[in-house]
Amino acid sequence: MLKILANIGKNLISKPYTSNYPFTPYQHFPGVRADVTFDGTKCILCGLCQRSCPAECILIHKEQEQIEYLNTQCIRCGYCVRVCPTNAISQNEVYTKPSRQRLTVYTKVTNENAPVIKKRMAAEAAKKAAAEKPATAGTGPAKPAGEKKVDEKKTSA
Amino acid sequence: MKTTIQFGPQHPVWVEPLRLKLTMDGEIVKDCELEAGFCHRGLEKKFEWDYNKGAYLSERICGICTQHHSTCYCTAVEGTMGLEIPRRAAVIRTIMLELERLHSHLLAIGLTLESIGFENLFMLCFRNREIVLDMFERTTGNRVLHGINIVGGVIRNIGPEMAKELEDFCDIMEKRCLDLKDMILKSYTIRERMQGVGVMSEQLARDLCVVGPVARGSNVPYDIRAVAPYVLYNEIKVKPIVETSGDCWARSVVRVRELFQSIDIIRQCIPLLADAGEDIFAKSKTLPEKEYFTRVEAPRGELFYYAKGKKSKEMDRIKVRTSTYGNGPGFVPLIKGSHLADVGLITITFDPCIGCFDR
Amino acid sequence: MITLDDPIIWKIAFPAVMLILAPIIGGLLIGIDRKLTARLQNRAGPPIVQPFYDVLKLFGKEDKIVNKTYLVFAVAYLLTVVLSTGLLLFHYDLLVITFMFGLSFIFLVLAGYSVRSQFSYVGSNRELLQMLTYEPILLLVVFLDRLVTGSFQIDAIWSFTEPAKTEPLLYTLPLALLALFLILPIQLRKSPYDIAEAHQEIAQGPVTEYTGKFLGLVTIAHFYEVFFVLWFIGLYFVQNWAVRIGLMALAFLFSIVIDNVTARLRVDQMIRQVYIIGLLLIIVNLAYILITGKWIA
Repeated sequence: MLKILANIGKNLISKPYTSNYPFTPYQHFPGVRADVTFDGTKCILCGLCQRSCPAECILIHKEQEQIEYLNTQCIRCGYCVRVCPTNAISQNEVYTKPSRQRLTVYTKVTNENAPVIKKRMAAEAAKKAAAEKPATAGTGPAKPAGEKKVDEKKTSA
Repeated sequence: MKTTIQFGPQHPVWVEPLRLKLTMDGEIVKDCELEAGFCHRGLEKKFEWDYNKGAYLSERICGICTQHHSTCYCTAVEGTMGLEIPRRAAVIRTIMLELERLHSHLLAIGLTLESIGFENLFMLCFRNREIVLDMFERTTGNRVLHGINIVGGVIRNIGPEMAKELEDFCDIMEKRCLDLKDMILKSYTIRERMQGVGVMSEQLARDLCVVGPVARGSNVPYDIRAVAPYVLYNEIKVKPIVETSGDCWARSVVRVRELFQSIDIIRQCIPLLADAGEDIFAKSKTLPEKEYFTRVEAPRGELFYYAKGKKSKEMDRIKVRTSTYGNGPGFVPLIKGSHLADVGLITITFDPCIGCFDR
Repeated sequence: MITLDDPIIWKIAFPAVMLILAPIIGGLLIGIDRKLTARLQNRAGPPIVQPFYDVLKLFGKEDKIVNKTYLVFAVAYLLTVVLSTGLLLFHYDLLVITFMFGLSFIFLVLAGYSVRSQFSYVGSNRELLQMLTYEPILLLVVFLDRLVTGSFQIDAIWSFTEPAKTEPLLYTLPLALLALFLILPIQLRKSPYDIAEAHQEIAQGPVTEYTGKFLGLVTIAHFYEVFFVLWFIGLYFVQNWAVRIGLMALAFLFSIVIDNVTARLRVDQMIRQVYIIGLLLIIVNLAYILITGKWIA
């Protein structure tokens, strides 16, 4: 009983431990794990992060060449950072503020070494080369369109 | 006049859904029926996927003993693959396990005090717990769901500076826990409320197979750390803390004394970090194919994981038997014949974590 | 021309003003209590006017009416508490005041019994047991007052000694005051004797089912209660305003500190403790009065 009395006396003269939360934000320690960001210049669109994510919050769209990241669904485990073969994913140290939106982040991949992009560039180059030829020959615009379709099928296969 | 009281599923004394159907005679409980399963999530079925993701899933079974769940899962899966984790990873896991026990026990003591209306010490317990959570944020990067364990080791190292910080933390924590112990053990009203309430005899404890602090409060020296040592408990000898009286007071005192045991274990582990190798992760060369089981002493008692692989990345079966599930039937015979005022206290001293209970 | 010494000021105007100010003072006291409790627990705590914000918010809320009897009892509870405070301020009969204050608790108990909620039933049962515990002590204290002053009238406290207005009640009845301090946590609904409103066990006790405006009325009644209890203790030193207010503040601080260093007890433990210690204090005080010959009646 006396010990508790001494303790409440000590509490009374010391500063309150709680903080006025929304006005004085909580200070995180260094090394805290928050949401992740994707580096579009390094990603090769391999899809390993999508397969290894426990919360299924990463979606790789190979056709659109972009990464869809569902921020609010992410559990901040950091496993995608571990599995990424090109270190394209980095984990932030600042928490995302609460929000009413879904906070979906799209990242456009611009890495030229990505296999998907390589193929598309090759196809585009071929198409360009093919388009230049008929243009000199003077044929109609229907033919290149047909060729493009074939190319797309090839890339998807 | 006989009345029936629905104690739960939503009741101020528990944060989680559990229902007790109490048949009352005035203030005395005549009969008690336990009903659980309000937050069944079907997690055991979900475990049949990539074993690496399972480590994160197992943390989410229970928010208070995450580290124990994930360590138990990882050890079980490593067993199916015959994988030996590096020594440094084992030391880090042990430190984290004891830190987790520290904060879980502080929470349990705080809630016990709150259930008998002692708001002041409840706040003190939670303030002390905040220091442990801060330490978790320093070391693992997260406060509650640490996500530090993966199959094959851990993902964060504890460097020399962090080890120094841990030592300081141990000193601060020990001082605060000593204060707390003095306040709890010497308070007249707490003793008046807890002593002789909800007595579980040694025979009853053995019959119902209760585990953890509940069993140890009833003079059953059953501690997995001593009975079947795992990670690093082969080297660090743990002597089970036992109280004889078996009432709510004994269960709480076991928790208070285990705080010091945990601090002591962390102190013993820190020097081991210096001469352990630098590896914290061992890559597996095989896929899980055998079956294996692990037992871990969680803050609430024995935790059991059974794992079976099928030579693929997906697991075949994971069976979880949590400590609260083992303790669940224990409080029904104690509540019969007690006061209504003591129902909340008796259940809280069992530390009911319904997230574990239902899975 | 009315001067400050005019009896009209002290007999009518001052009590009327105090009756109007009573809920404000009571609310502020609860606000201070919450702030101080928070500081004793090392928290920042709410602002001091928080109870008024709460009441205002309650009055803006939608009512979920369980049955009409329940509402009538809420109003009756408030009115009896206001009436007993008024009687105390206007210097009426002390015995009537005590019973009127007891009646307010009875209305609360009836309110608890009038709804079909198990928590209300248990809360009302406990409220009755609490009444059973504190009413005998309170009545015996009042009876001791009457023995010393020779009358149940409050005015007699001023004039019971021969050279009028010299000796305060505190010097003759110190242990009776201690007995009042003992039942203070019951009346202010604080730990260790906040058994009827033990929210960890039975939600909010008799007031579990109140919502909106009617919960607001019950809260205002509680403001009056706090004021009433402290003013009652102030009667023990009416000769000096500074000492009188100091005595009230002491009782208030005592209840806060006791709230913070104790756990809630069970009903049987409460009855045992309060009866044994309270009756012992009163008997010793009675013996003191008898021996020193301060017995007037």
